[in-house]
Amino acid sequence: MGHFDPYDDNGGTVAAIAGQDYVLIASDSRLSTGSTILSRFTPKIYPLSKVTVFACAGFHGDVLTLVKQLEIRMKLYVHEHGEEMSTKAMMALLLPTLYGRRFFPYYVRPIVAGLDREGRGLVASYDPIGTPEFFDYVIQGSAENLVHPFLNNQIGAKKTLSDVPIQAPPELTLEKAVKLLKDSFLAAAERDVYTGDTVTLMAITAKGTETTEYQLRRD
Amino acid sequence: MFRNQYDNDVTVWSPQGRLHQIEYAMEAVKQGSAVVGMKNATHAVVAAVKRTPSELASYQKKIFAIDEHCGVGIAGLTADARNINNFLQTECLNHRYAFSRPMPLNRLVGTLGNKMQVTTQQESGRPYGVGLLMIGFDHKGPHLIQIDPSANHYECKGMSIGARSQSARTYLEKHLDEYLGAQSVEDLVRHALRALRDTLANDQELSSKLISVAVVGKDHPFQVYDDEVVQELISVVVKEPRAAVRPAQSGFALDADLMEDDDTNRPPPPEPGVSVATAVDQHGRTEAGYSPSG
Amino acid sequence: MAKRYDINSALLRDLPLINGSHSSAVGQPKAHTQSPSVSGTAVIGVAFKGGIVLAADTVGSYGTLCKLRTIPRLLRVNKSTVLAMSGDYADFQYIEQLIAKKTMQDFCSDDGYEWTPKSLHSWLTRILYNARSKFDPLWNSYVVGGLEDGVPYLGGLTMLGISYTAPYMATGFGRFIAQPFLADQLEKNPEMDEAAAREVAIHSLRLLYYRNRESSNKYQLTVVTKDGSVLEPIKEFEGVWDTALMIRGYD
Repeated sequence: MGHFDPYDDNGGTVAAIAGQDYVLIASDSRLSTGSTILSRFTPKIYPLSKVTVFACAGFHGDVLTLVKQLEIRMKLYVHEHGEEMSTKAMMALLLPTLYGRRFFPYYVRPIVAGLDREGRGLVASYDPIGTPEFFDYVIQGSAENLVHPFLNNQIGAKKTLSDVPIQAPPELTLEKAVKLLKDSFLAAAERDVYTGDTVTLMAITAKGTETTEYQLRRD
Repeated sequence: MFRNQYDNDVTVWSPQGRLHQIEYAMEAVKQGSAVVGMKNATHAVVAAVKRTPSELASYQKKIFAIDEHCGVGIAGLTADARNINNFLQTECLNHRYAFSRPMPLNRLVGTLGNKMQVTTQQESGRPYGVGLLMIGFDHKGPHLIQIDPSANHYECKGMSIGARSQSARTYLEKHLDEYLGAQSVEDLVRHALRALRDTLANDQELSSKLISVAVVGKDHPFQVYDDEVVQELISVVVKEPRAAVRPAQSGFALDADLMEDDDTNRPPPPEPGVSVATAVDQHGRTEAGYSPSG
Repeated sequence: MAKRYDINSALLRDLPLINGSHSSAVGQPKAHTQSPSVSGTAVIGVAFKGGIVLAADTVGSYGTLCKLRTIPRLLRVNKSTVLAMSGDYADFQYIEQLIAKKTMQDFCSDDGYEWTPKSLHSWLTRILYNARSKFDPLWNSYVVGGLEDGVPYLGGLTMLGISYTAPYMATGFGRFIAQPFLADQLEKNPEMDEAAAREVAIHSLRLLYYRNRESSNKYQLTVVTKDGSVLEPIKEFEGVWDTALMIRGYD
């Protein structure tokens, strides 16, 4: 008798860095199932408001459903309060949204990134049942184990013996952060078969959102 | 106030074939301050007069967003309107959830009509005491739809409901071609403000505190304009002379010229008969006391 | 529950039966479909300049048995929208009925509002995702194609509710055999016209025909351009087996 598995892992990597006056979010665009690629054109990055972005790796069916739910909650909030939900509020909302499915979880690795009311960068990552982690930089998805140590070294200054000057927030500039994330994804694509094709980078500052794309290896 | 033995219950017909409770509900719309709506080839606007129960209180909200592509202006019981808005918002969200695109206006109004009709046919409860002017933009272009407590809805070119709205309808009929052919949104809003101005008492004048305006159209999500933007347009309109003669208020807000050319949409001619005349001052206070109508 | 003795049971030895037909069902929990029965194999979708083409062969397989040789797996929804299916044929027929019902409701509304590829893609995603969430999956992959506001749209969808868009796609076995070929062709010729896209789609089916035992050389195409959508009659291509003689050492 065949066994039906309601889950799939569609791979992909998402990452974010919070700066003093910016937040930077990135996602690759590969969607795979097993050893095959479903799409090379699916960045897993979803703007929820002018200053808040959601990015999510994991099972894409759950990702799409979760995004639709968050979009609806954002809209209802606007109807009720006459303004968009703050990044902090969205971070708070995601926890019960995920934990509400504790016993049939959304198989997702989400990131919420955005600016707070004062224009400072905020990022949070969650496990599939909603445990949040707030940090200056987060990475989730198939290449997180590859890239996390790199970011720890470059931003978090963990266990660094070298005399390379570390630029941790708040000193870390947007330009440097962009370079770090680009390197992260280039490195990830070298070693992780589920990460590749293109990277979409969104930089949110008080001035607005700037989205750029660049190529990764496609094999 | 007229009363007779056939108006105790919404489910009881009068021998003339009328449902008096529904007609009374229609009168509740006229207790609310005026709302004006109109459209041109690409956009629809709605504008409303706001009221406050006292100098110490804020102005009652008159225009509500439903979704990115539509919203309503209301006249009558604000609390009833909130219930209806909630329903409309949920319908639009559900449609977007399933189909990833905005709900067509005719279908949205159809579901609302079904909901409102139920209240006109069961003895428990009462009909809604609010009239709506819904504006929106969908695959068929801009829309303006009037919705009554009777659960009737009419697709309109221009329309006004609420207190002293006959004056606005007179303006809308007279300037039909001008706003239908309006080249800019600003022109359209100016027409709405002029029509609305005609509903004001002689000692009142348009002001950004008093007026609420919303626009929706092609590549223009529904947006309620804030005080500063409205003030700019108002300042132009208030310099113009006011309409000299204001016709008397008539019983029903049904003017064939303002309806879209669709016979199925056209309402029956008004019958003479029940009409509730209540004096309403500029702050919405009736002779009997404060009215909850917005 | 009736057992399937209608065909050679040896063929069915490894084929899982549906809906708990192994057990006597009395006192057992309700069992949902846990695997497909009559199923269609790969479908191909290619977007070109000004439209899209979908292609599928016409076999309905029952395990390894070629049970039905001429069943259409493409559906013309309206002038802007078409659908291609792989997987369980009964589930597809159920979806066909749902679509027909919605289409009729749209028609009766008489408001010019009808399916677009994007709305059908979105709606089907919800149907399949909801079914999988109830542990009662519809065992299909779909490719939705057409013109969305005049722009070519190609959307893929799996039985778990994973949906995506791409300028070319293949389902099932086609992911292994046709997709690399499609990627290569579209890279060489990104501004593909209709004729080229048709040729690429048919050649993809041909590649599948050579290596996929569930496929056949009987196939159907559907094309959407600004002139509307056409579900073409079922055709056949000839297999070229000359090279088969040269394959040595790999079998």
